[in-house]
Amino acid sequence: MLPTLVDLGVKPGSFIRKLDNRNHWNAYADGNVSQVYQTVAEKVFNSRDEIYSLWNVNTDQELYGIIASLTANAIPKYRDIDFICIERNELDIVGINYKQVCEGKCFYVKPLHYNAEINLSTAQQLCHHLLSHKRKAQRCKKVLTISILQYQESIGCCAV
Amino acid sequence: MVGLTTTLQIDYEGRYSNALSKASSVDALYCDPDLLIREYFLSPLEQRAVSRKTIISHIKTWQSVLVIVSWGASGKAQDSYDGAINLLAETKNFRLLEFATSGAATYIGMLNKGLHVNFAENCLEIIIKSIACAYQVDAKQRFALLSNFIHLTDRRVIKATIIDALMIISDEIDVTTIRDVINVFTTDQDEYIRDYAEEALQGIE
Repeated sequence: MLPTLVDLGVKPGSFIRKLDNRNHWNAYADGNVSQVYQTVAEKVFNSRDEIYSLWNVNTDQELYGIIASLTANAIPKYRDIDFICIERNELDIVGINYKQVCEGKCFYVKPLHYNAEINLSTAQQLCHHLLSHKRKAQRCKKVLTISILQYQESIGCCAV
Repeated sequence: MVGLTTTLQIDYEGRYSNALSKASSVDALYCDPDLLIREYFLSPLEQRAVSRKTIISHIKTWQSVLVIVSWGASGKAQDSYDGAINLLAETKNFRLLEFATSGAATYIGMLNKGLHVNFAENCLEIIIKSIACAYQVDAKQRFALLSNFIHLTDRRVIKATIIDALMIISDEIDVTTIRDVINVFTTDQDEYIRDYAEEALQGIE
C-alpha cells in the first residue's frame, strides 16, 4: 500500500534532506540539545563543498518521484530511505540560501530539487533549532520503497 | 601501457598527503586503482553508476578497499557515503569484503582512543552496509562477516547499523537466523537499541 506524506511524517510544503543514516540524527535526539547539536551537525552536514540537496515536497505523488530519484543509482534499489524534514521558515531563520537546480532522473520532480549552501556554523544553528523542536529523522522503509517504485514503474517513471 | 607508480597516503580525515605520482601515460587510470577510485568519487552521480562495476573489478588490495572507505567517510565528494557503499556493493570478490572486515579493527581502535570519532564511525558504517549490500557475494558468507561486528563495540550508531544490515540481507537467508541475531539486541543495555531491534523484528514479521 502506498504511503502518504502524513504516514512518513512529512508536512506538505517542507523540504526533505536525505540522510546517510537516520541514526546520525535520532541516536542523539534524546540527549541534551546543547551537548549534541554540534555532533549532529558534523554528522549530517559533513560535505566539504558545503552544498546540500533538498527536495521540496507538496503531494504524495511528488514524494514518490523523489523516492524514485533517490534510489535511481542505489544498490539495492529496494532499501530504507532516511531523511529529515525542514520547513521553509526554518531555513530562513538561520539564513540558509537555497536555489532551484533541476536534478534527478524523475522528470516530474526534477524542478523540486534545490541546492542549499550550509556551512558548519549554520548547520549547527539549524540542528540546534530542529533538535530543540524535537524533530526526528524519518524512514521510508524498504517495504514502502518497494510499493512506491512498483507504482512509479507502472506509470512509466524514468527513474525506475 | 607505461608503468606508473603512484602512492596515495590518506590520513584519518580522508585527506591525501604525500601524493607522489610518476604517471607518464594516458593509461594511468588503468594502472593505479587509487586513481580510479578518485576519478569515481569526483564524477557525477549518474556517471558513478555507469562506471562502478568496472572500477571495483580493478580493486584487489586491502589498501584500496580502505581508500574507498576513507573517501566515503570523509565527505570530500558529493554523496560520498552512499558512493562508497554502492561501489563496494558491486564486488563479486569475497576477499574484498574480508579485507574491509579486517580493516574495521583500525576504526575500532580510533573509537576506543576517542580519535576522529565521526570519521571512524562513518568508516565502520560503510563497511557494515557494504557487506550487506554486496549482492553478488553469497549471502551466508556476508552474514558470517556481519556476525563479526555484533559484539565489536557498544556505540549506539554502530549497533543500529548492524541491525539495519541484517535487515538488508533478511530477504536472502533464513529469516529465523536473522531474527535470532536481532533478538540479541532486544536485551541491550541501551533502550534506544532495544527499541530499534524491536522495530526491526516487527518489520520482519
